[in-house]
Amino acid sequence: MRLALYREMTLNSLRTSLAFRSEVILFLFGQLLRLFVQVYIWRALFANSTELSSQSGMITLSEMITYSVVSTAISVFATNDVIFRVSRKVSSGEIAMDLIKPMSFRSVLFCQTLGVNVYRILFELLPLMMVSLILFGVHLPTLANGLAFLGLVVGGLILNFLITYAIGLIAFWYILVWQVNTVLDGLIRLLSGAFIPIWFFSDTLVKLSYFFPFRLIYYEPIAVFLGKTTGWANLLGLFAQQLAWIVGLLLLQRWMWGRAVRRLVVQGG
Amino acid sequence: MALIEVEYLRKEFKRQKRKDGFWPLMKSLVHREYEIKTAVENISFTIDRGEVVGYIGPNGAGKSTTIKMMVGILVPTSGIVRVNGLVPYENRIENARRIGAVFGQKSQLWWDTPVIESLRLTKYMYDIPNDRYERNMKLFNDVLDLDEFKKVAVRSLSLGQRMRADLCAALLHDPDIVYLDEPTIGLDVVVKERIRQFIREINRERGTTVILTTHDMADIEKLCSRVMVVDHGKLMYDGNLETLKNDFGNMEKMEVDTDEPFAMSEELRRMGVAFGLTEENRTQLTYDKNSINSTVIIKWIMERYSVRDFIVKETEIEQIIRDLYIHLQQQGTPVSAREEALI
Amino acid sequence: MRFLKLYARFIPIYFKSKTEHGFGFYMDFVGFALNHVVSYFVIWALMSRFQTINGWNMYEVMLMYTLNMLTFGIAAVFFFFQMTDVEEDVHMGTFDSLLVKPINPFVHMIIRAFGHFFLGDIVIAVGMLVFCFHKLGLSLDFGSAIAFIAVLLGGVLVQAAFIVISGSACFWLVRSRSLMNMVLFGIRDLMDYPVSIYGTVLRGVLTFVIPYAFVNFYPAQLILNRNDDALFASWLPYATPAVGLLLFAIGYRVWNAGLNRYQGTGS
Repeated sequence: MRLALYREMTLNSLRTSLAFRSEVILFLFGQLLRLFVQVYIWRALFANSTELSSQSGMITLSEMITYSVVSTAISVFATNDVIFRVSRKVSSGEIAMDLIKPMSFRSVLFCQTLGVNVYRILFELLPLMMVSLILFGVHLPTLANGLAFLGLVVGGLILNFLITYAIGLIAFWYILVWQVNTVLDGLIRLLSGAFIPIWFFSDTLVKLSYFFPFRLIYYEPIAVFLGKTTGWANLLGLFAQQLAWIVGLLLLQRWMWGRAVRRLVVQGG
Repeated sequence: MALIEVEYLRKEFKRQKRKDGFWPLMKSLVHREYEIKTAVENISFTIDRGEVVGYIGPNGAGKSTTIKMMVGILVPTSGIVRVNGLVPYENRIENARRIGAVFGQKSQLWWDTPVIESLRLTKYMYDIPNDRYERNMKLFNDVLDLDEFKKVAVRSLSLGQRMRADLCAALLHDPDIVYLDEPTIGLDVVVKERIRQFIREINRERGTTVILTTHDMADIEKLCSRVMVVDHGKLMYDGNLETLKNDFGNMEKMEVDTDEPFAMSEELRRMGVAFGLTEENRTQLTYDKNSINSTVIIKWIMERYSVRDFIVKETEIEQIIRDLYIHLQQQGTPVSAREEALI
Repeated sequence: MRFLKLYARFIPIYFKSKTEHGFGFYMDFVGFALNHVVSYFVIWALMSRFQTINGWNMYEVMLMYTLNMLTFGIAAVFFFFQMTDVEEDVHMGTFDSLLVKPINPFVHMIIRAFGHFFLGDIVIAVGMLVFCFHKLGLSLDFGSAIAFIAVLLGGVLVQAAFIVISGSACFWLVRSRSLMNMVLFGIRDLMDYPVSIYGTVLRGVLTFVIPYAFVNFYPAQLILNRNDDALFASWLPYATPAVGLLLFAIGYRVWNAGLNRYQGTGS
């Protein structure tokens, strides 16, 4: 049964993640640290004012703190090593082994990422949320916005996986995946709203952010969470954008994969 | 005075117990269990200048651990190691000046640098005077034939080339002792022979003491005057190769070609001869050479058959060691030809 | 000194072997550099909207970031890949080769590699340093130049100590790389903005326990002549070189403790 295979792959990846106690604690610590830094930065930036004007109207400090918490929560899932897994397999030639396995390489990777994510919910997200609720106090969304938020996060994560996977495939043609990854990380850091919400951007930067899919991973879902984006038309618009990017990336990958396999066959692995 | 003295040497390791399954895994996040494993248990021996010693035993027997303590990399749990009168782990750097070491498949040369540059760095590292460096390089080059790959980066050398380069690097500074951990592993016959020749020459001409671990019995046979066998951390045999052969190489094999097919005989069997593979007119016989002489058997056969040809094969060293290991597993007691020497 | 002589022999050989990789070698410089360019953009995006953070303006924040990057870059040239190599050696079982050589393993560790990766960082950092000095209208006379170099060296030693200490974790932990990354690319990131934005506890920790504040915050206070937001004691900026030396000495002891542990005396 296909599903059983996928379940085993996911569980196995979870098991591997758990085997290292020190890493479990360190990752959690790292996430908390990043969150703390962001909260402190926002506190310092707000100084004595209770709210600041932005592209989406007035923003309060506690909204900004909620923004940081939610952003960290998303980053827990959006951080993966798919790029390096793909490129390592490609450069070591191990990818040939994956081609003869009875499931697609991308599915294997997706399951592994999923397994890691199950572990992350237990050991990173839950503790992180508990600490945040105790220390900072987090705004909660309305039911409709909350549901839309969840849907957008799932869409955003699929998008994120597809982007990293596509970048990893570059290893077939181009060895310097590491540098490409740095560029990607940089673009995400700047234009996704993971740290600075796009509503605090200057007009030029806002325009720039529309050329990339990254804002759909962090900024847009969080804006929905905070009730800054409401209304059916707007929400559907966001889902449509995600869908368009996903379809586009899938097409791109099919094309890349086709060429990659041909290349692999030609080179003899 | 002996060059290397080892007395009641012991090394214990603490290992974490590995767990399987989800809940034991969760538990191990909080609490971990350890077990103590004794890698080397009360080993004593002495080695004199100029000896070539084969240190053998099954995988995980404690060979490498002992060598690492002799080199000064590991500190013994208890017991004494003295090399050149120094305790290696207390005077590691002083000790390092006087020894050379090659650890099997792990190169000690600089990975990204060409062989010749790597060797030159070794020169500076050991403060080798120019003339001695040149002389040694020339000498080693003759045997190891380094010229063909001296400009290649270490990482792109073949296994055999790398071993030759490593050997050269380990001996450039004329060490008193050289430790070779699996120096011929994974190499082809020609390279193996070349390396053995090199070790022999170094030992003969400079009196360098050689201690080597190996799984290749030909190394032992062609190089070692003395064999030490360890198993489960204990020294099980220590003596020269001849004694080992006499004690455990007593089973001899004979192949006889006769005109007519050979019939198994109760009489021969009672004399202590076992029949091995028989095909057409060729028969294999095995017997204990200490209890029956090959001439007796041949005489018996020739009286009854017309013999076309016969060969007597001495037991191969592999077989001897295999027998020894089996013997050790059954008995669990050391067989030491050097017992007196130790006291 | 023998160590320097060996090092002088080694560096040319190292570069010769690296440059043979050609294009990839030059791309190495670009990798980290891109990361920093983005960081400056983030600071720019943030500060052009908010003007100041705790009384520090955009160029002052950039100067802080630059000092962190510069001191880390210099320390990393001599220690970063050297320590990750050690970690790899310990896990692969090849670390023994450092222990059979007639030279202090700490010295050997340093001289057997060279972090050319970070030269790109240093170039950018120096460029940005000049840029920030210009924008902030700062200039150095002889005395302040000496003081500047002294605090910078102190900062480099602090950074080096953290690389050595966190890297030495490989002697105790199976997966020490995460700890190293956590310290060098997690905790160190706390210093991208002025320490004064944090609560008293965190300020104290970053000054007295994990004294990362000495890589940029205290040196920046000295350079910018900011006496108004002194933390704990107004003389702390002047202590930077001493803190660097002390921490580096601690780092060396941790390394030695790690060696002892590796050799089986520690446990």
